[in-house]
Amino acid sequence: MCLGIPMQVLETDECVALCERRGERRRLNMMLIGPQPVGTWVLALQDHAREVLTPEQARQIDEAVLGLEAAMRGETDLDGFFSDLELPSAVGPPR
Amino acid sequence: MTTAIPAEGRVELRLEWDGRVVQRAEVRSRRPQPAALLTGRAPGQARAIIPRLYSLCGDAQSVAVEALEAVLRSGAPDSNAIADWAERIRLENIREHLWRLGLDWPRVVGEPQQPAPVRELLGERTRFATDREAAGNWAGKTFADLFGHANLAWLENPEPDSLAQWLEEAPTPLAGLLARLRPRLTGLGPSALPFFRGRDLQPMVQTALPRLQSDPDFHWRPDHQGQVFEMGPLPRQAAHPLIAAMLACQGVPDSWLRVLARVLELAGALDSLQRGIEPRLGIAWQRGAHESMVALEMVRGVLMHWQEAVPDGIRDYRIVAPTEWNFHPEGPAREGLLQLQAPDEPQLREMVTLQVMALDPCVQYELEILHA
Repeated sequence: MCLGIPMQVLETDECVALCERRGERRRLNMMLIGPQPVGTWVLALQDHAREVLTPEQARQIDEAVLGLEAAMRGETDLDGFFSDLELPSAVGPPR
Repeated sequence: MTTAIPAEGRVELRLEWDGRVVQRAEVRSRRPQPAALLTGRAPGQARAIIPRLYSLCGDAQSVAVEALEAVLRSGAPDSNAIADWAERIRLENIREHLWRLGLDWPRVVGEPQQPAPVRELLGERTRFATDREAAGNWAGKTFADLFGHANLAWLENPEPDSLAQWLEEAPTPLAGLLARLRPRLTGLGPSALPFFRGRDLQPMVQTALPRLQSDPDFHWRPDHQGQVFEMGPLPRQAAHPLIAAMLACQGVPDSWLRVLARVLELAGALDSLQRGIEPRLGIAWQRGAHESMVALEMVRGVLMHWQEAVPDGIRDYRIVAPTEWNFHPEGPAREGLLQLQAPDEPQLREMVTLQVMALDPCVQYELEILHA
């Protein structure tokens, strides 16, 4: 159940890239996917960039992770984190 | 160990160490559950949401969601779907093993990393899922690159001498890596807990289905009939002639056997892919009045998805990951940690790193050492 985090490449060299997500910066090992141009979205696990993402995939994963973080804070209105999905027609009572 | 759970989840390890031996070990795995995101949604929306979150074992997570949806819809998945899932899981397992053996373990022992095989697989995985010939050709080449051609009797037979000779001659970077790992991993992380066997999958689903309904903490600390099991490649390879022979000799498994089991599993998967042998997926399911559950074998062990749904939508959704078994408070990680002996703290930390990587290389952990 490891979450992948989408991050955008800011600076790059052959093996390592400085990447950012919402102000958090990490140096990611790029050996799995090879050097990527600045601006590319990648999926980060621990200190590795695991795969290249389209901007749309990056947005969806980013919003899902934000939604999970909001749920962990106790927020209950989470539909905004899945804006591309049809909203639930009915909401069952929480357990 | 009471801080908030990070979204990425965390395993917490706390050791009491007297300067020589570990006297006490606590293990806790904490991961956020997706239920809050799914409550009230149509069951089909889990299929869109869960893979976005758990994208790193994404195929296994997606398969579990799809299988659960099929169980809800028609009571059981059809055989074509299971065959498709089995291929996806096989490729994901190969990818994970290549990653750990090609990148993570070399970094730990200071060997050059070998990213090419996993990079090739990541680039071609969509094509390989349908183009069996291309996948088979790639698997054959990768097998030869990893294992070479000489002294490979150990891959199929109980021949430790053949393994020792292969390691000594180190015909490939993988052999050289394993030769350096063996002395550091032998005897490390022993656990006498039983292995989870495939034949227990359906009985476990039958007992876990009501347990998840009645016990809100089951997913943190699962058991089957009161027993905690070791999960993953070693239990799956326990019947392999070499592993069986080594287990019979040494009695309890250690970190070296866990890594060796991953190597054997990788070799077997590449060989079956090369030869066009259909993969088999360990999967079981159960449907109750409102609850449904699927359990499947993925690279790290058994992954369980459980859902309670009513006509208005999902009421609860929980995932039990293999980590919850291997890093159970009474699980194999704790068993191994309790056996650690180290003359100083840096060596103790290094031993913990090696032991955790051998049990589950995907786990991120925090280690706290208290001086007893």
